[in-house]
Amino acid sequence: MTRPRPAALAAALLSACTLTACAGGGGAPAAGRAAGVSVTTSVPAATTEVEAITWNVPAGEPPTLDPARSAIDSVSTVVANLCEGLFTLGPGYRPEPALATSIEHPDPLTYVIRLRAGATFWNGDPVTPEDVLYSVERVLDPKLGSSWIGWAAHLDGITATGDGEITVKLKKPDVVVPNFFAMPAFFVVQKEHAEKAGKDFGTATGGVMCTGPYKVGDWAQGRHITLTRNDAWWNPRKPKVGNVRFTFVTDPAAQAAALAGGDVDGQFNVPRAAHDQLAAKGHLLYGASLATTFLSVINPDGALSDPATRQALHALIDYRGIIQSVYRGTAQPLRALVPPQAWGYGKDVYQAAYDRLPQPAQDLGKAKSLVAGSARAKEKMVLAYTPAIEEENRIATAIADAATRAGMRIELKPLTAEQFGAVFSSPQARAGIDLLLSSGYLDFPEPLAYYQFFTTGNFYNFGGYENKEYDAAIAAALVTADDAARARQVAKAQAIMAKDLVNIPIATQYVNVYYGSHLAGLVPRQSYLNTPWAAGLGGA
Amino acid sequence: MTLTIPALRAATAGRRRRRPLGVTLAVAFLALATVTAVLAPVLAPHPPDATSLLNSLAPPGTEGHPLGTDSTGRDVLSRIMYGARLSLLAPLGVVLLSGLLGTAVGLLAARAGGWADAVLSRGMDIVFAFPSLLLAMLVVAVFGPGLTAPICALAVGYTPFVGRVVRSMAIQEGARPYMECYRVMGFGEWSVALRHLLPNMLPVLLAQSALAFGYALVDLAALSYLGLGVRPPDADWGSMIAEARSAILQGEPWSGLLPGLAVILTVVSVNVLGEHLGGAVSGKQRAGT
Repeated sequence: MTRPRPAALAAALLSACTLTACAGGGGAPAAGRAAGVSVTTSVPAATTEVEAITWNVPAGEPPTLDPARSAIDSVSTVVANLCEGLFTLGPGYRPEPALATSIEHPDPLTYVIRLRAGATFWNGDPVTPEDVLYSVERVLDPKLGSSWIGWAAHLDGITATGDGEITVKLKKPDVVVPNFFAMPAFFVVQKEHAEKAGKDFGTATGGVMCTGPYKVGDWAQGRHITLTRNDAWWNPRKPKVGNVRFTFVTDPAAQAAALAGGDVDGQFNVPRAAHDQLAAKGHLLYGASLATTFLSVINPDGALSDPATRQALHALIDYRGIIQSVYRGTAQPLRALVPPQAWGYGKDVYQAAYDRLPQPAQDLGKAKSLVAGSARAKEKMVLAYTPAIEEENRIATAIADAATRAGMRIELKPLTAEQFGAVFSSPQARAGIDLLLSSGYLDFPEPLAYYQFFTTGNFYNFGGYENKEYDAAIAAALVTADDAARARQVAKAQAIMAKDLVNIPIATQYVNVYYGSHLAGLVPRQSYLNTPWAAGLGGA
Repeated sequence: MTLTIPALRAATAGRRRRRPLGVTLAVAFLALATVTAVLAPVLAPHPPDATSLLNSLAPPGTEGHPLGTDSTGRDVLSRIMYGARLSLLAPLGVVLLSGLLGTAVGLLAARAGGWADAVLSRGMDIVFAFPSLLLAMLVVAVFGPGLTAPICALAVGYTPFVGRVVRSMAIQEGARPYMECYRVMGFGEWSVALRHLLPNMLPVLLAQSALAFGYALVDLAALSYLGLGVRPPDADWGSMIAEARSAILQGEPWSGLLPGLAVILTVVSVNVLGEHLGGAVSGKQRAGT
């Protein structure tokens, strides 16, 4: 699943010395290097036990701890340490066994999954196939409104086919589906507990019952959630931190003060403005992300119906200024919607196709010339964005100004958090908007997961993009198991999209994390939202 | 014919007195701000919305940017000059609207008396008890961001300040002999109120308006700071401070401090002027009694 990010996206600022560099360890940066910023791919493991840490969730208090509803950062950051799926994403985003130990794929439509024997819920009850089936079907119930339901577009059925074994049957091949076995779509909750809790499941009253390395110790609403170590976790790599206390400070200045003062030990998505200050205090690390910031065409009938308008927009964006000034070197410009870090396979194929796409660079002369030759390009356009993300506020302002200089008219429309969220679900909320500036990210490295949204009739194809060639390439990729062949199909679709410019990629930002110098063991990765990241933390 | 009350005779005489230095400075600053706002298109060194990302957060004194640039590379001096237009015009709108409404309600209450006075006075009490800024935020929540809705909301919120003063003065003045003279001469109640009573209240209303201008300016700056005021990329001083939040956290505060300073100096100047006017009027009224 891909998700829009309503809160400030993770990104990073020049760090004088990343942990990798200081320790002399770590691997080569996975995403290359921007000016002066190192991407950390490994850190020294935690060596000592720590009784308790305080971790801030900058997106605020999670409204629920129900894994089926963990599609927003505040929920995911906490739930990732409580509940597990059948598989989990390891370093490099490779699937690793979790509540399942193996998977077989006897034919293109069938996945037979062997469950882990001996795994138990926090209350000591064993995990049964019935619990797994209940958890998966719960997500598929439209009444629940889980955003993880999307994986099952081609699902035929899921059944228990033996002692400790379940089988997922598809109606038609869909190579994206196995990625979801490590996502909250397959996070397992105890059936008995969930049924008993009813509508209160996931709340401070009803709680959750999962299997992960931590269990809910205390949830004082409005103040904190404390997780305590699950000593009966099946994984031999036991967490070194006894208690993780989550706080919900949302103000950037207060976050900076709490982190710098040591009141809070760590946080993902540290405000960029505080990076200089915090880099000197503890570990401020940057990781390659699967995130992308881009402009989407929302109204295909107005000024943007003319390809010249879209080309002019592509030409007028100050990519260099955005990377260097707005993201301060902690992002990379993008030639395609899906960032290179999300090429989970067929990297050579993707690289060659990516290199053929035009390098993003501001060319106001070209933009002016395109606008001069198009009557539609001079029509007014409304650019919507969320001012809650300071970086996007600045990008939108710069785009509007550059558009004016190129002879275009862009009216800025800042959206409240509610309005911004509604844009992704309601056509009414998109009325009057021509362009949308937003950020999103993939949960796993499969470019198809994003590109399939732009096929004809897809719910997320807000601009109503229709291109038979594009649809055919995506449809072919979805049924192609061979990595290189699939990459070729996706790259073909990517090239069509880049030519049609139904969206204009801008940048991919690095994910960042800060933790005090007394801690160790956490590498910043996009997968922190779905994997038990706190289990790796401990004393330095 | 308008009879001149003693306070106004004293006011005329007071013009000969030397004006305090603070008042002179306040008037000079307000004049400068007004001229800057009016002539911004001529005086500003850059267009207020011209961005230059690679030149963002340049410090004051940078060549071509005497007061530096903000986080998108816009010239701070130019934005302060253009920002003065909305920052001064919007509170002026609040003051004029609340002045009109308050005067109308106050006069009506005073002249009508009885149950109408009771109803209007209690109505003003209710509005008075409701924080103006909260009222403006509620209105913005309903009608969306922009300056029109907050100006109207603040004007309603400020109406009781004017209305109470007008009502009190109208009742007080209404009992004076010269008002009785007009009635005896056959002038109607409303004619007397509008043509003779109101002009006599103007000095006090002016002093009250000057103070209200300062409050409105701060309230509107606060709304813009919260993102509920002007629409981007338009500039006003409150939105400039809001846009500088992360720069301040980054240790580069000038793009927020300078518009903040403009707000402070304007409010202080207006308050000094308002208090001076109020003091002069009350002193003269005492002299006239």
